[in-house]
Amino acid sequence: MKHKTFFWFFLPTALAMLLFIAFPIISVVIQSLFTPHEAVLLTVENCGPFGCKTETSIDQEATAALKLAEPLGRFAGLSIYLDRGHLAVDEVAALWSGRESLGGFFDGLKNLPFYRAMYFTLTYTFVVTPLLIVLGFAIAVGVNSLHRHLKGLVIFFSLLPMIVTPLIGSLILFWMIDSRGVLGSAIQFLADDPDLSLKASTALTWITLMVYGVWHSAPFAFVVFYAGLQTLPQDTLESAMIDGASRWQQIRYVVIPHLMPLVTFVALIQLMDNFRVFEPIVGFNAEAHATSLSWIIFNDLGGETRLLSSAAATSVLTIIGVAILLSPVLVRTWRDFNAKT
Amino acid sequence: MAEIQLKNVGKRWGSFVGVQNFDLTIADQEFLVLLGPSGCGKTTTMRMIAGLEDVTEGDIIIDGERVNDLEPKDRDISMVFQSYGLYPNMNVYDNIRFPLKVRKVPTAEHDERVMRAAAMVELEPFLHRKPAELSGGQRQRVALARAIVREPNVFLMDEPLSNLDAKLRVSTRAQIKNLSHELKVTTIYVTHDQIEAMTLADRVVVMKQGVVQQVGTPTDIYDAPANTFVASFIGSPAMNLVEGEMKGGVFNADGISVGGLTAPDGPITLGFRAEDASVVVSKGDANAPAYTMELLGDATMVAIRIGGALVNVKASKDYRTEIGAPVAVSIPAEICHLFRSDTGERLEA
Repeated sequence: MKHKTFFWFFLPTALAMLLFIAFPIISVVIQSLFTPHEAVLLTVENCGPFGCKTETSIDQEATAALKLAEPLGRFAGLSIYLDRGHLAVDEVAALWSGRESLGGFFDGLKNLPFYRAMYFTLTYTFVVTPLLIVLGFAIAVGVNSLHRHLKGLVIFFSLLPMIVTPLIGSLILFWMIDSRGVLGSAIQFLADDPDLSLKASTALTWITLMVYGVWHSAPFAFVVFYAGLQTLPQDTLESAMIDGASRWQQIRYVVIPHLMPLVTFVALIQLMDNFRVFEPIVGFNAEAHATSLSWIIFNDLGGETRLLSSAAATSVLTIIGVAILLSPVLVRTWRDFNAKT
Repeated sequence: MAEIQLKNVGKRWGSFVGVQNFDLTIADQEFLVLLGPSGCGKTTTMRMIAGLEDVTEGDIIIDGERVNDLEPKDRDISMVFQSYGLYPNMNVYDNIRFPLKVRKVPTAEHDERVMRAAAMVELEPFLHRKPAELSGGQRQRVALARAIVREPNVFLMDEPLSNLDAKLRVSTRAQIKNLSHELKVTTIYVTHDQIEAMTLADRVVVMKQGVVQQVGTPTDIYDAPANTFVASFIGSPAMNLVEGEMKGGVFNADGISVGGLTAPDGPITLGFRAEDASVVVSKGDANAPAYTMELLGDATMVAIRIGGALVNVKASKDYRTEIGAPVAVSIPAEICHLFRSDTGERLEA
């Protein structure tokens, strides 16, 4: 396409992207550099029959006027990014200098809210993404070999976890693992320990969250792979059969190479999705054991005082995280593009 | 070394009959061509031999062993597909090596065998390319090399030349014929192109709607077609067929009268080949205005309309006539083939 044609063709998309993606991000970045005004205090000396007293109170009018004049708040630079609630530079430096072992240093890091959330977020992302790709692929191959009369029904049931709203889905699983729920009591029975509670153990909570993550997202991978399997070249598959490939070798040498571009696609989407893990933490009431970056943002905004700037800073850090996560793929796409032109 | 026996082999999908009562013994090292229009069951027959399609009835026996229930990989065959069926993610070398690799042939032998197969189809300069970087003819040669590398007992080829352009088709055809001879392997070759069938085959099987019409050497089939279907399928142009009446040894139809034939009186179909008849100056057995004239280079093809059919006659390369000008054609009784007009079956003189 000629550059001029391309420009006009792409213009509406570019405008929409600017309006709905670029501007909000810029506004969040700006917000993260400002901190709310402190209230204007008024010190008044009240003199009465028993002597004079000074009282300090908030000057509501002046505070409101200040907020109106500078709605963003005071300029704070990067200080919010560096404070204890975010990158916690001072605390990390103190931990590093006072470390006795590397393990001790990381244990200390886990007590800082941002690193604690990051630890879970990354673990969740890198455990759930490969597992859901493998599971989705296995379901797709399984469903594809079913008799055609059964396929429709099985596809419908396989998609259910994705259709269910994440919050509801996680609540359902949450009730099931409750000590009075079917899974919770079953585990108590199996472990022969009436006091065993999944929710009380950090490790078990993490496992439950990740099982939920795989359960919820595998259907997405399944649908994409199943669609890919429909375009599998029959000739090549039959060649492999005649050449002597076993069922597993056919999958390894014909099916998987054919689906590889889709695996990249699913991995990209799911890395992004899982990095933003949020609903299961709320649904499972698991914030005591696991928090994520998204949960921190939610927590900042959900309290009585809305910590807009803190939430904005975490949002920017999340965006940077997603960008780092996707960079290998983006670099590769860029290289392919350059190689072609 | 493999003799293949097909014993009343049939294939049905529900009430649809794909192949019916296919009964044939293919000798060791024979080059057999299955020929017919699309949908005639030739590919289905081959796929049943390969094991890619289940047999509904009858038995397939390779070298005395019934293979109906064997997996394709256990039948010791190799196959070349119309659209090549190469592995797009592997280079040419790995494509050719694949059968050795999955069959656990000792690794030490791989290189020598791959190189030998590649040399046979002249692929050495392309071993490190991916299939996408090859032309159609080169891809088909990779498929051929992959088929021969394992030295199987039976080659199956499913219209291997259909995706190639005309020139390449001729050279690849020669290559296939040479390979089959060189390797001394039983070969079954499916095609809808009668020229491929004539040039390659030891024996040809002509099929129509799942039923075998005739089995014979190319000469048999060309010179004595078993019915009007075979007559009209083999040869370029196809045999001329004219509907008419037989009375006292004389065939009559609109614009044609041929005497000296032996056949019972009544309706009949007369057939003759374009190159057997000749254009004469006058008093031909058939007389009609020229419908069209085509220059072929080595000859001139004249078409006339007689007995309701368009009839082609090959004339010398210098022959010229105008469309609409009268043409006289000599059709001696010796070149005529007679077919029953109701069933189309050949009537032996």
